[in-house]
Amino acid sequence: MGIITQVPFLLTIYLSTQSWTLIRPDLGRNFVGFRNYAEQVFSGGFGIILVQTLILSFVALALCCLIGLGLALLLNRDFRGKGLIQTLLVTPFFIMPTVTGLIWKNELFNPSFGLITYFARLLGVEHFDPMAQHSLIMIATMVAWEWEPLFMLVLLAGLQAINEEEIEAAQLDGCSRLGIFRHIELPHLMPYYRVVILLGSLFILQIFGEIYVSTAGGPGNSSMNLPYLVYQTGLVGWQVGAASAIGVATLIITLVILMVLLRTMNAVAREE
Amino acid sequence: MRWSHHVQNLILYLAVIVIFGPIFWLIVTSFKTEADAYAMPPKVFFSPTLVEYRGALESFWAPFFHSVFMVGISTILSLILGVPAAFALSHYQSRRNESIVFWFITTKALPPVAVMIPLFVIFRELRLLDTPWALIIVFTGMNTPIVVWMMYQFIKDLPPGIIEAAQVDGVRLWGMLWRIVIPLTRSGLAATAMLCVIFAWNEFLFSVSFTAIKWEPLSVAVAAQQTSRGQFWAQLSAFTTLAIAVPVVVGWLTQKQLVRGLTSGAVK
Repeated sequence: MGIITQVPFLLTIYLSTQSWTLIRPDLGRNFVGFRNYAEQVFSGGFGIILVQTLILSFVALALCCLIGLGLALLLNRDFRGKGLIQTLLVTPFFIMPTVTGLIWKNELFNPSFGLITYFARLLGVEHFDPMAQHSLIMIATMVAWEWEPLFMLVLLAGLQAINEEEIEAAQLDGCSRLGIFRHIELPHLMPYYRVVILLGSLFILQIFGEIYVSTAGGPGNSSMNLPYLVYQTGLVGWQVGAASAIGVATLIITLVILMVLLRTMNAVAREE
Repeated sequence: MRWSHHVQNLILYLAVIVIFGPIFWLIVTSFKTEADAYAMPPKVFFSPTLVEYRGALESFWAPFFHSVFMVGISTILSLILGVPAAFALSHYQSRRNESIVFWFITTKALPPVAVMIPLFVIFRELRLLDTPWALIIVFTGMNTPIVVWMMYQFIKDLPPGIIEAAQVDGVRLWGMLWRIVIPLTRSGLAATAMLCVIFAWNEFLFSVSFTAIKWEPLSVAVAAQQTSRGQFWAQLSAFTTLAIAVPVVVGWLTQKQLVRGLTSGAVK
């Protein structure tokens, strides 16, 4: 375990100080100090992709939190066919990221035969091609579609763990549905939100397959995130040193984001 | 009251259409001919055919067996490494154990891209690229922390008396693991294994980086089919339906246990 994750990371740091282009063995491998960082990380291009990564993750997480909560509340009742509906709603979580990309790109939004393109045309929308026009937001919705089930399941588990007597007592005291949600359910869900937001952001910050299949980071670099940039630099451009520098930067940024998230959520939990 | 009940059901049905609809339509398309698949407006009524599956199956079996082999071996290895660790951590109770278990899960915070490049260089040196072993090593490393995390919760949820009673009866440590802990946490163990299968089966970043034609798994094959057969949407749908069948069925069977294992310890 340690060998798999820790040692390669030390190697990443070492490689990030090298100038090494795999397809140009004639250039050899040279120590360049922090030049990779100066050129790759402290550059305008990196900044834009960092901002895109943050927008993508934030939009996807926010959608997951809202939709997940809504569905969990709707499912936390007794009605016929509950098991089946829940099972259907969970399904996107088990689908390959590459298939998610494929569904978005080909089935739903293909400019000529996409299902949603057809409905857009019925409504009179011309040149409907959101995968090209709003690529980053489209990636965020596809990620939200894929990860919403996890939020729904965890929050549902949270709702089901609430003591029913507590709610009945509140109802007897004349508490409205909204009041119950605000004063009993939401505070109770906080630890569940904490877990699922941490888990979710771990994975959502590292989205790759969806982008690879649906937009390949394009048009231009408009839907690229940091993992895709590392892949592009390292295994398409074969610049090992430069890709390693971006990888190290990605790690530091991820850890900072997770730390801030954890701090904020602990602060919120304390206020409650 | 009844009225609001029906409105809520209606919203749920709409949610099912939006969320499950795309997958349903993918499966529907796989039973169409190419001409029907491209028809505009989209054809709802058509005569279903298996003809596209024939074409899809030709290129399906090789990546399917690659996936089964690599995912299977790596899942078994993750369990062999992770279950005894989880047992030890929950058996010898100490305050530090909680933080060790937490450390295991924080290794998942390490972005795969931060280690991908050196792993690529190492596997290239060892001539492991485009062999099953590179991905087996990666999947095992990726899933072992999840096994430790989940099994720790399941073992800790066992009634404490059972282990003590076994100790009094003089059951040895290994016997305890084999004859008591594993049988009692069966369903949790199954859910953990299934989660490993889903994660490894769907993994893409390492898969596309470390394999090429000889050992490409299904997730990579789907992406490759998309570029080479993008023009054959019905056949691509058939291929994709086959590719997602395993994780979807596995996921359906384990959804309840999965949530319990992922959250139980963390929300107490």
